[in-house]
Amino acid sequence: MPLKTKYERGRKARVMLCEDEFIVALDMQMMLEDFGYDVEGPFPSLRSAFTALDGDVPDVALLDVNLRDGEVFPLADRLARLGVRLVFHSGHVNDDEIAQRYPDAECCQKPTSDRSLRAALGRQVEARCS
Amino acid sequence: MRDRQSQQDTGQLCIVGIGASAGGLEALREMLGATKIDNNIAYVVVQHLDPNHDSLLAELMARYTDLDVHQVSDGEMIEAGNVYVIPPGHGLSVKDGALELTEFTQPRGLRRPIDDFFESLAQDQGRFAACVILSGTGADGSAGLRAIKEHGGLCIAQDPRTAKYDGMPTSAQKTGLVDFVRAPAGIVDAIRQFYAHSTVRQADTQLARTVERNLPDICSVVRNFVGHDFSGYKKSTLVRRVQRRIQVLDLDDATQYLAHIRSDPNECEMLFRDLLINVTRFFRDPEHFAQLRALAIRPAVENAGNGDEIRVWIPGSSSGEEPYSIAMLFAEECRLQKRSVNIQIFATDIDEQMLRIAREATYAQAALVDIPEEMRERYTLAGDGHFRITARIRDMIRFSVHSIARDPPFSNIDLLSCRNLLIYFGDALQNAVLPIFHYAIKPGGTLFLGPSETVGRFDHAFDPLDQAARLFRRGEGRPQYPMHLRGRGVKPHSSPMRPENDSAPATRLDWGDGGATEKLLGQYAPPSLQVTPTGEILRTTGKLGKYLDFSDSEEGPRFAATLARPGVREPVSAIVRQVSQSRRRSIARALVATSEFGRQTFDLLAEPLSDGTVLLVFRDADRFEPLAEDDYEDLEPMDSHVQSLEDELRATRIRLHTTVEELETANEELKSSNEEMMSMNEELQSTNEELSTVNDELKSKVDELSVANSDLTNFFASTALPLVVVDRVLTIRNFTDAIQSIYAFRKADRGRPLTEVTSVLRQNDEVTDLVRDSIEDGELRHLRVNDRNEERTWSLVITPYRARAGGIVGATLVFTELTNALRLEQALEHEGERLRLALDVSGLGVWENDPARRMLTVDGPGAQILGVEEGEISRRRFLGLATLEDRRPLADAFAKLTADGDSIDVTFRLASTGPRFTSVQLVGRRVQSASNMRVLGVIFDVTNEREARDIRDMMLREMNHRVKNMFSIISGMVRIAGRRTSSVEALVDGIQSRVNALARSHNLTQNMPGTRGLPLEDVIRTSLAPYAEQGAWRIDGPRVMVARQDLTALSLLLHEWATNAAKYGVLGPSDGRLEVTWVHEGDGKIVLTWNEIHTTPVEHDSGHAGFGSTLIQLSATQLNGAIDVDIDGNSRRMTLTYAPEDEV
Repeated sequence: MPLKTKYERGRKARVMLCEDEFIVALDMQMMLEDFGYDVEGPFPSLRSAFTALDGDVPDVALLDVNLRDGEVFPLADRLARLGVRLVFHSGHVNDDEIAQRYPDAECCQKPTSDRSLRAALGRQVEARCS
Repeated sequence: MRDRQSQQDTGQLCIVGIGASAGGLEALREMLGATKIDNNIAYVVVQHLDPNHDSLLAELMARYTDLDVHQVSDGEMIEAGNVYVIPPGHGLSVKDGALELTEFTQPRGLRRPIDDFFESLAQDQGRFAACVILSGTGADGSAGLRAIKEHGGLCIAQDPRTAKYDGMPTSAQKTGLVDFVRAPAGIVDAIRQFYAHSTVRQADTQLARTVERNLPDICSVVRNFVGHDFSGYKKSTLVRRVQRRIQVLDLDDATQYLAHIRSDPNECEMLFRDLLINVTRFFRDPEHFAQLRALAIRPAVENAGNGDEIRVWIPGSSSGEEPYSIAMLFAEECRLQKRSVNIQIFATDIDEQMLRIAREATYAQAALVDIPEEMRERYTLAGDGHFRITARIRDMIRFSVHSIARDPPFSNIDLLSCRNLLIYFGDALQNAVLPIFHYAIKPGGTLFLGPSETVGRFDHAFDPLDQAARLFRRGEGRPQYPMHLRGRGVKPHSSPMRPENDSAPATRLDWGDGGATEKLLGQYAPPSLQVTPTGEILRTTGKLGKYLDFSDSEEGPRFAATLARPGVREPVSAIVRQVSQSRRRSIARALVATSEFGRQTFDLLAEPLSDGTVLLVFRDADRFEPLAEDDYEDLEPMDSHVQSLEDELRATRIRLHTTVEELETANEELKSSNEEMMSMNEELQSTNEELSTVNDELKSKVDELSVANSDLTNFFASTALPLVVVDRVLTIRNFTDAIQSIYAFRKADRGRPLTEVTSVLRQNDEVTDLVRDSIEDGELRHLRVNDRNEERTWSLVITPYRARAGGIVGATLVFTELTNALRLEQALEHEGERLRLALDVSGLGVWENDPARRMLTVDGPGAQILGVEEGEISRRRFLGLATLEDRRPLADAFAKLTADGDSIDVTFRLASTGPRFTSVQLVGRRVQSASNMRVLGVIFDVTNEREARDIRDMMLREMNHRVKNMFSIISGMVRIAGRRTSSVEALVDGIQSRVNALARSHNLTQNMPGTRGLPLEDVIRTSLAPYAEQGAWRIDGPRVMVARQDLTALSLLLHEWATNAAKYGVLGPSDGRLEVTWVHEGDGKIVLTWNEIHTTPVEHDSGHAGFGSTLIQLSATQLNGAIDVDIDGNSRRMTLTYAPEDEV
């Protein structure tokens, strides 16, 4: 797995996963673990995600746009402020709004392939570490 | 006149009075036809008109001239460039430049409107008045012309050869006062030329100045030629009259005139005549004459002793009207007082020509009205357009040439009338003349002056009798012979002269005052005789017995030759005859007169006297020789022969006289018949004139009428308008050809009643009634009529036919075909209805915008949509209706439309119209008509469409989201399953069954009513549905709703349980039954129990640690719950405890 050496030597990069659809969440979780990341979550709701954030701050967050209790943006704002790199995993056709609000973030259209997800996360993790 | 002169300016108005009568219309047309508008000339036409007939004169003249022609109504100010025409039945006068109508005071035959107008014009306008006399009979205008001339105006007469009737122009010309005689076409040019000088003030005053400088020279020329010195006359009068001559001759200045007058004696005569013009008429100032009669003439006649002579002197008698007036007054007084007084009137003037007129005693008929009626018949004789003064009056007056300034005055005068003469004299001359009057009038005598004359500083010599009438009584002061006349060596006329044709014998000799003269003449002067040229003895003096035999004196005239003694008769007859012819003093010497007493030798002197009589003086040449008794001469037989011849002659004369008297009587009768005929003729003449004027007018009118008639005929023939004219009883009078479509008229139907002709009209009776009504009340009627098939429609207008007099004499029916218009109207109405219906159904509002006015008009529905009142609203207000963000685009759309756009289509939301925004679409198109541009369009509410579109968009987005989600789930499920399963078959089977489960749960969501979720029981039944054939179950529990987000997890969980049961449990190989129950627990939790009750005891298994159990665990987590598995004997019980979240 082409993970960055820094993390191989130290610890695995931590990815916060927010996804309300449990099958998708499980799939994602497995893929992330396969990619070699530590997975926090999956959180089906904002409430649970915010609660989890009180502890450690992840390096990257993989966020579904629509969570059970609303859109993910308040959480994304908070994460962005904390310096967490963001990858949005959305079913929305038009991602202009996201691109406009979070210029550095990436978007993966649902259903996503493991290759594109891996590349996106890789880029964000690298950006986080540099 | 002076005022006028000072008022003149460059635009001085010259008023030209034009007098015309029979044949005048033609002359007027020629005269004014070519006239261009002048800045300073106005024309006033006075025509003899029939008072009972409307005059067309103004109308007819207007056609031939560029000038504006008006019939005078009363009080108009005269303005240049206009022609004013007298109306019928009125006279006309001018006052302060305004025209006034006057009422005639004279009967028709005696009216003189032209004279009256000219006189008032002369008074009012002075030298800026001109008069023109055109064709006509009679003499109207001649007297007025004289007034114009006296005030310095211009007098023009039409050339009698060009006049249809030459009476008036000829009469005018005879006055000798006409300045120009022209053909009508040349008259206006003459007027222009004359006023060319005077209308420019500078030229005018300059001319006056040069005249003044040259005046002494001009006067001296006149004195040399004519013998009268005018230098003592008033300078202003002289200047004006000379100036007139210069203008008439069209000379540049007075120097040229001086040269002209020196070279042309005729001009001298003309000027002399002009200088002497004055207006005179019978009884001028009648009230003054009344005073004269009361204060002077009546007392004079009363106080005169029988046979006394009253002496009257009238200097400046002009053409004789004044002496005749005074003579008539005296005659009338004598008649009324039944007195016989010898009246001697001396009328003198310096103008021989005027005296000639006076002696003729014939005046124009027109002047007759001035003579009071009671005297008119008594003292005048009517003639053809003229009248004569009777011989009785004529013989009272002696006319002679005499200049009061130059010649010795008359004396012993009882009444001196000198009217309107002194006003022409300068002060010096006036002061010289009044003492002469004082000398001439005997003490107590009367002086009668003109209305603007006074005795000046001689008021001590004359006491006023009546100041207003200018009557003065001479004081008692001694008469003083005027000194300036003495040096001329002419003996004053102390003896009165007798007219040469005086037939009345003198009743007494009057040799002056006192008895001295008489004594002297009787005692010491040689015996003398005054005889007429025929030898009749007028007066005698001295002892004539030696020469004349008075013994057998007869009644009647005494003739010198008859009374003469033998030896005297022949020389007396001869010398009287000779002296009468030669007018030279003659003498016959050494004559011998024989009487019964003796013989006397004598010289006979004969001297002609100025009045045509002869003075015979017998001067004794030797001693008287007494005659012996028997001394008979043989002369006797001859004498007796002559005597008998003379006796015979005398008898013959007497017979002749008788015959003559008889003839005269007969003649007199004839004359009076003639007079009547004449007066009748006069009336006929004036009627004829009026008739010929009317005839001229009517002729022109007929020409016009025939043109109008032909126009009308053509109109009737060509118009497509159906029209009928009927009279009061609905008889057809006229119709157009187009009427054939309604009434079947033929040419012969004119005169038939309208009701008899068939018509195509359904409302025929109604039409007839309406026509009658209209004729009755004079109101217009409108009616819509159809033909019997109702295929055609006409609009009928019935107009009352008014005659010129104003009465209604019929009606006019005009039809206008409306068929096509009505069809069109109906089609339009239908179209409109359809459109309205469409608008109503679609809820469309209509708006209209006039860009120029920036106003919008909206109809009812439009207003309702916009939430405003129906009608006009301003563009600004309209824009204000939109929400803030829509306002700008809306304004831009309108601006674009106004600038260059052809259409507009804009949608906007209305601000503040309730809980939700109303969206409005506005569509319009520019409609360009010839006169203006406007925008017309519709407006409609699109709120619902807008909302539906929004919802559709939202749904699409949601659907997209869900589908993607579903793909993600399936993709995740495949990936997860792939990790655990080695057999492809199992993998496919597992995935397929789970996808089916997902699809079923999705089916459930499709049927989900509302958003409240699904009943839990339905979810369970759906999950068990595939196994319905494979076992028995019981499902039981309270109504619990499953939220949408829990549905997938719950469905999958139930699916796993059911699959397990089918593979391994009661729904598959094992016997038994299934019980699914659920209950509420505290804290809002649901406890769902899945209990498989086997017939045999259940084995404990290690559990299915495969994909299935992972799914179960995950599902529980998703549901925020926990799974509990309990195996007890025959039952295998699984419990799900979860807390359903409220949907967000």
